[in-house]
Amino acid sequence: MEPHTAPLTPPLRPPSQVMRLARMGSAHQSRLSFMRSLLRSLKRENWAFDRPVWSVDDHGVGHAVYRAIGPRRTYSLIAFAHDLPDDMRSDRVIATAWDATFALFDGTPDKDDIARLSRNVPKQEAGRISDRELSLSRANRSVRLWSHVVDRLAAGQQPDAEQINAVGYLMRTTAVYGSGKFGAADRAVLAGRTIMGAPFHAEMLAVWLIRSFSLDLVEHMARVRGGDRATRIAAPLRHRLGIGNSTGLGMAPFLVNHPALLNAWMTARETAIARVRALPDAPPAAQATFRRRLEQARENAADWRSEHPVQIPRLEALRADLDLLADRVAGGALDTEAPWDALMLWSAKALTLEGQEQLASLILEPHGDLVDELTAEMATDEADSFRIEGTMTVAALRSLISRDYDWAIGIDHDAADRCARFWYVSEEKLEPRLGQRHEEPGAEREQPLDISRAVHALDTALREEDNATLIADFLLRRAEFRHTVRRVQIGATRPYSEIRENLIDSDLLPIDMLRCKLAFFGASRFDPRSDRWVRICLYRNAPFPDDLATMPEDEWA
Amino acid sequence: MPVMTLAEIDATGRKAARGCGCPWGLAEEAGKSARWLASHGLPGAESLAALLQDNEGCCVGTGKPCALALGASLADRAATIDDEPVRTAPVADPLLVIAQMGCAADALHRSFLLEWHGGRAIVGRHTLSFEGSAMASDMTCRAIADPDNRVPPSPASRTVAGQAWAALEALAHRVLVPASDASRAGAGAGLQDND
Repeated sequence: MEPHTAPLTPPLRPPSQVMRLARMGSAHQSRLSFMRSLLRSLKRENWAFDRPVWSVDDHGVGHAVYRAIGPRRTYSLIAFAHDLPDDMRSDRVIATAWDATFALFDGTPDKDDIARLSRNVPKQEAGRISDRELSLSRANRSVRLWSHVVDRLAAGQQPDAEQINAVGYLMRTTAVYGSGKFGAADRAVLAGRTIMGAPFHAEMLAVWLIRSFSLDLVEHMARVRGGDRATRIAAPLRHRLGIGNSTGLGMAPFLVNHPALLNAWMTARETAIARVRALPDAPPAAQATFRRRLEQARENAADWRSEHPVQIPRLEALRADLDLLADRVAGGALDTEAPWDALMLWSAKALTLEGQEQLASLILEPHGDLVDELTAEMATDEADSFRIEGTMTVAALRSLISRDYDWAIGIDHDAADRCARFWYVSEEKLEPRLGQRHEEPGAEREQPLDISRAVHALDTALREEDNATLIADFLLRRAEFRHTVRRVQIGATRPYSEIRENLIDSDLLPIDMLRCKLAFFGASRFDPRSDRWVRICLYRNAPFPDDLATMPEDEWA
Repeated sequence: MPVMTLAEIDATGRKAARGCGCPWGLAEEAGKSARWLASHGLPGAESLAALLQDNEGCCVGTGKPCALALGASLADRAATIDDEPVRTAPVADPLLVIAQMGCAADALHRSFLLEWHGGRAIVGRHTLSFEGSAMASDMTCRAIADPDNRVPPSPASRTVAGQAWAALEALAHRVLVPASDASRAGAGAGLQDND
């Protein structure tokens, strides 16, 4: 028998530590983030890009097509540019008009496709797309930066670097819909595809191509204004422009409504962290990469602005944390035995959650060979975890609850502050909202996001049952518990499926839920605008389609 | 007739069942059943709409479980169903029972034969063979040898009868909370967006 040489699987950080909102709300992008894995894949497969259609007039109105051409498939972003009066510009999802609207098309669109989409895409939710489209989205200009850039370029000058740094994007998207919404192709259409089968890769491709469109449009408007004097944005500044995004409560329930998917994402990240921590040493090349990435993180933290009272102290703490980390590394922390593990252990005592989670992402940077493959595990077929196993006994379900939900059972959900909120969907725009249970109407139409309270109630009901009773028999009598039984069973083999927090508590910060998801997308510069919506930047410093092949792989984030 | 994605059939079916008073868990089965039937070329949204309209509220607690509740209970026990037929109480529409056993077959990689007065169906992983017509009847279900077919049904959109879809949407509307100043203010910070 040959000796078993595979590394031992090191223990992962436990869900009791990882699945708390304070930590999830301190998440940073990493090598596993979807934007980064998408661009790595496109580069490795030598995808080609072109812009076969540019039909935009002197008022900035018209359409354009951007293609991504791979070895097996082609995808096209169809962009519609509009002339939006300033008084109609709103980032809220409840807006009805935008500066630009987009669809990602599965293949190369012909004239009929574009005509069909031109009648529907500008209307967004009020229009209808088809199985040929993979996403539907829209964007507004950053009016401040847009005017500045057009003015400067039209005069033959480069825009001011400080202003570009301060805003970070020319356009911000306000919704990117995919997965069967408004007629778009069902998630199952993409499930088996090599690149687009990964979570949110279709949406992230659309956003990356929207970034190119925003640059092309601003340069077009500068040419209209300045004629021959006009110039283009030079390369160093150009890359600093990402795409902004405003994300509100609509995204918050996603992580709760997709427990198996959340588990897949968190398991991949925690496994990656554990693999790096298990390494016995840090060779010089890995040390150099880490130092370089740490410096990038410090620059990012220095440039990262927020006016929100929650985020301002967090940012100050992050900058201080990164200074401490840099000192620690300069003092030889990477030359010790199992240096990555030692750094993580040190950080748990010395740094805030912002710094701890930034470090957890940073230690993955030198180790693509070890961790990048885990991105293949981040998609999951949720149908596999949907069925309730009714042959489980009451005793077995109760032991799952006591193992996984001890944090919920101790909460007094009858106390006014412990059930202060309720999640609902508004009639006006079919978007999730968070209401005040004791002050607003509508709690009788509550969405099932009151997980801890529901598990508590299930546990109480199960105490009245015989231990040997089958769950199928229990549920035939008590169908109101089906949803909660399903969740508990999903968690039985998926330790990171549940946010371990009372989501109807008066202290809940929904932005923590948003940040966790957006960090998995690869977003940076989280800038909360309230406790329930946040602005972010996507693809800042990333390659453009025309330099993806020549820029170093995955060095931008 | 409207063309709907399978995701929309699932989501609208779930909300409609909830709007009809079903507990969330059972409403999830309603959406998945409608999706499963539609993906196999059967009238999923239509069957669900008919059941929800006939029921005038959820069956839970009435002592007379509907096809949705009976199908859920049967599917919950699917792992222990063998070649000994299990008999259900009479159901108005066998399709919603078949759908849930179909979902169970997908998850468990097993196959089941369902029979009722007027027809029979075999469900296996990703497969359905259906003979006869759907009519009110009691049903039997037993496990059979696994047919060798592993190609999932097409995920393409399906046409749905307009009246049935309108009925589901009307019921789904009942889960929504009417707009108020609080709901409008709730999601954003109310800042100017022209920056």
